Amino acid sequence: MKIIVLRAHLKEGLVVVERALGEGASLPILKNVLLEARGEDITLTATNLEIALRYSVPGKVLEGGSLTTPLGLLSNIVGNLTSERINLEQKQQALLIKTENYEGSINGMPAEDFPIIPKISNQTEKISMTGSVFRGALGPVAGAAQITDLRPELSSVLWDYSIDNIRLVATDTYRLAEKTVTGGQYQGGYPQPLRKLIPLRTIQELLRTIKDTDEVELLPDQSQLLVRTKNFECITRFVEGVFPDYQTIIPSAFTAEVTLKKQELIDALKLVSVLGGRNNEVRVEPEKTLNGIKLSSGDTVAGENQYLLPVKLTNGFNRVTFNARYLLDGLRSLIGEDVFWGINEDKPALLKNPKDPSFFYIIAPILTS
Amino acid sequence: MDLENLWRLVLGEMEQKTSRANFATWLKGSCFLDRRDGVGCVGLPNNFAKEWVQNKYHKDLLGIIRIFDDSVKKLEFVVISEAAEEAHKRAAAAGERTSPNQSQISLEFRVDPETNLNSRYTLNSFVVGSSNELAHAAASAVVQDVGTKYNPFFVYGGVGLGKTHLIQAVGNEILLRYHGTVRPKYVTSERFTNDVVWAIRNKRMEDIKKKYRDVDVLIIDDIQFIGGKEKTEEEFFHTFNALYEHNKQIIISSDRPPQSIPTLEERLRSRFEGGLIVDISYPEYETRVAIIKSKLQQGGRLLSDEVVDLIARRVKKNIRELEGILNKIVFYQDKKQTDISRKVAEEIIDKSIQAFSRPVSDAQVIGAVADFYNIPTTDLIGRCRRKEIVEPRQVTMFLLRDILGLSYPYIGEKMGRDHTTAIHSFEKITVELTKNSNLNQKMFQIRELINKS
Repeated sequence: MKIIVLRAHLKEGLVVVERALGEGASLPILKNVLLEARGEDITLTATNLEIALRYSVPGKVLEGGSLTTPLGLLSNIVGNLTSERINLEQKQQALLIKTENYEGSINGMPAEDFPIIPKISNQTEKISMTGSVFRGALGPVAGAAQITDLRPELSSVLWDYSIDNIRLVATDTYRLAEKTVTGGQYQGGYPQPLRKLIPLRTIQELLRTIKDTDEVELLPDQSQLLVRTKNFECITRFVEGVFPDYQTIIPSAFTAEVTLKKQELIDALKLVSVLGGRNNEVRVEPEKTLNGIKLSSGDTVAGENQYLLPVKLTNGFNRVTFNARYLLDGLRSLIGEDVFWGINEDKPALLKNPKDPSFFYIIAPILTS
Repeated sequence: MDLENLWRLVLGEMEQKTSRANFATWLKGSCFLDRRDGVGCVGLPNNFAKEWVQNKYHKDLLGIIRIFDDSVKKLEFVVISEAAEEAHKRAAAAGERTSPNQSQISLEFRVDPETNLNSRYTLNSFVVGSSNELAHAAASAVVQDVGTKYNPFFVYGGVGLGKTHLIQAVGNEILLRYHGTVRPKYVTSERFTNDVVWAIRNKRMEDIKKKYRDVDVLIIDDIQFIGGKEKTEEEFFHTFNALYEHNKQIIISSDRPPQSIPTLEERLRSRFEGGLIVDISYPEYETRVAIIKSKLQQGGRLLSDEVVDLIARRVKKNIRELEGILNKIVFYQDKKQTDISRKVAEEIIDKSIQAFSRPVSDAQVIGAVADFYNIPTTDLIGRCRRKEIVEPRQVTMFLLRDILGLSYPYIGEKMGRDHTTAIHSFEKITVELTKNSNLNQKMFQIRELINKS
């Protein structure tokens, strides 16, 4: 193998694939990156056996071939190089790195020892969408998932494809977010409905790597999903497990409904929750004349504070307590200036953009009694 | 050789052929799933392992398997989901620790947090017999006509006879029938007391008032426990009045009629008596058979009529106990994989019931009857033929025969009568018991007295 690449491109590729490296891999070769040069393509591949990331680097192939080399060492060297152009050359099992005034060689392992990346056999059934739709759908939802080893189905995002729309849902049982991507926003489809769980870690990597301008393609089979753009591929297993039946807990009626400026509510919550204590508890109650809602927090030990948000209320309600952090997470995942807030006394509350029916966020109140 | 052993031998060989890290990465968690028509099926924990083993170890594995079993000609590889199962197991094991916190969105819906009703209880699953048909009919009427017809609706009866089932069923039926426009709420009196105590402590009485007065149907279980708790009684009294004034339905259960709850305040008692009071008494034989059959049907089990008859005959007091013994017998049948014979069933019942019965003497029986009817023992034993003495005396003789199994001549002697009188009494009461529910009720109370003495 003999190739010439630009330093910036190589560095970017290494940063992307590096995220697949797991800690404590038992197999030494899992710490390596696979460099392949075939025809015109130069690709970098890394895997931790749960997820595999592959990135195409633009460059010039002088001679095809492949080898693996420790990813950490290579990215350290590339990161510190100052020259624009880098020559990479294979010499038996070593990788030679050459620029105008630098020369290095790292020992690697043969490409044959590198794990074989699973493939999706059916390449025709796929969904494609723009990067901005993809990010806009997954970004707000992923925040509601939970990182846990105990319940893998909560450490993932539900991908519920049913012919004319895709619903993405995540919950940690304290809050739940659902986004619906409607038919017009994506192309292609699968012949039957598909209800699968994508690991949260994969989603986080994808959100970091995929840009708004990319064109994203999603190809599933029974046990895995391939997500690819022009120069990037990610293959991940689906999480086994059953997502909780969440439809029944979506509140349809509210004790009180308010619509207010999102930024105002965010600012108020950030301010008031300073005294919210360890649990970030913020109490919400109507102002006596129903001309506003009062946010308050604190106790007799630390001190207390309250904030009055002027808003028209149609009916009063009993004081409800929320975790301010969860509320803020929900508010930040909303787009638009206004926010609709449906409050229930001992059932979940709902946040959404009044102009956008495709996304909502529900959050359970903290029951104090 | 079975699949598991075969695979263990194969892995033992493979371990020597590959490096430790490779073995641990690719073959750990693998298993041999199937061997049919010369094709062996190997399960691997993930896609990566599958690809790798299929491409790199295929030949080695096949070679080793053929040493032990040369009928295998080909190997196939599939992905199994063991890892997920294990995680589930761990989650189940940790279930106690991670049990749903109060502020969680509850994703399991057995007990509706809003109404506290358990959806398991329905009017359909309530077995109706002569002992409870009035209660059942009244409950159905309450569902039809919420708040107007029978208000308050007061149900009383002994332990394990279905009070809770009935009143929860009313709540569930109302929920179903009116599609949530009529809001029921079920609380035990203990919960009510706790709420009141909490409100007093936190000076939040208003919350409690709102919580309980903002419902359309208030169902309170085991009201006898609020007797004597003054503040709770007072709060309940006000709640009761507030709801009653607005024609909201109130449903109450207790283990005895209102006039027999000694610590209950007069004003509450009179209010309870203003509505409809019905009792659920001990089920008679036919109802018990019907209950056993319906339980068996629910569980999809089968028992011979003989055994059903035996259980119904022997367990009279308590439906919960009936269920317990039934479960025990069904469990035994499942474990043994054979049908239960009458003898075995008898043994099981004996073992379960014996625990409660203590040896009693004839003097205890006579004393208890005298106590119950409030007549002196001397009147009971003797020749007096006054009408009010006749029934107690017959009951005594019946019980002496039934509980202690004494001989008729001995009973006659004991009671100062002839042995033929004893025989007549026993037969008369046996017949009476099958048709007179009032006597039935008395009989149980007397038996209870005997057991307590």
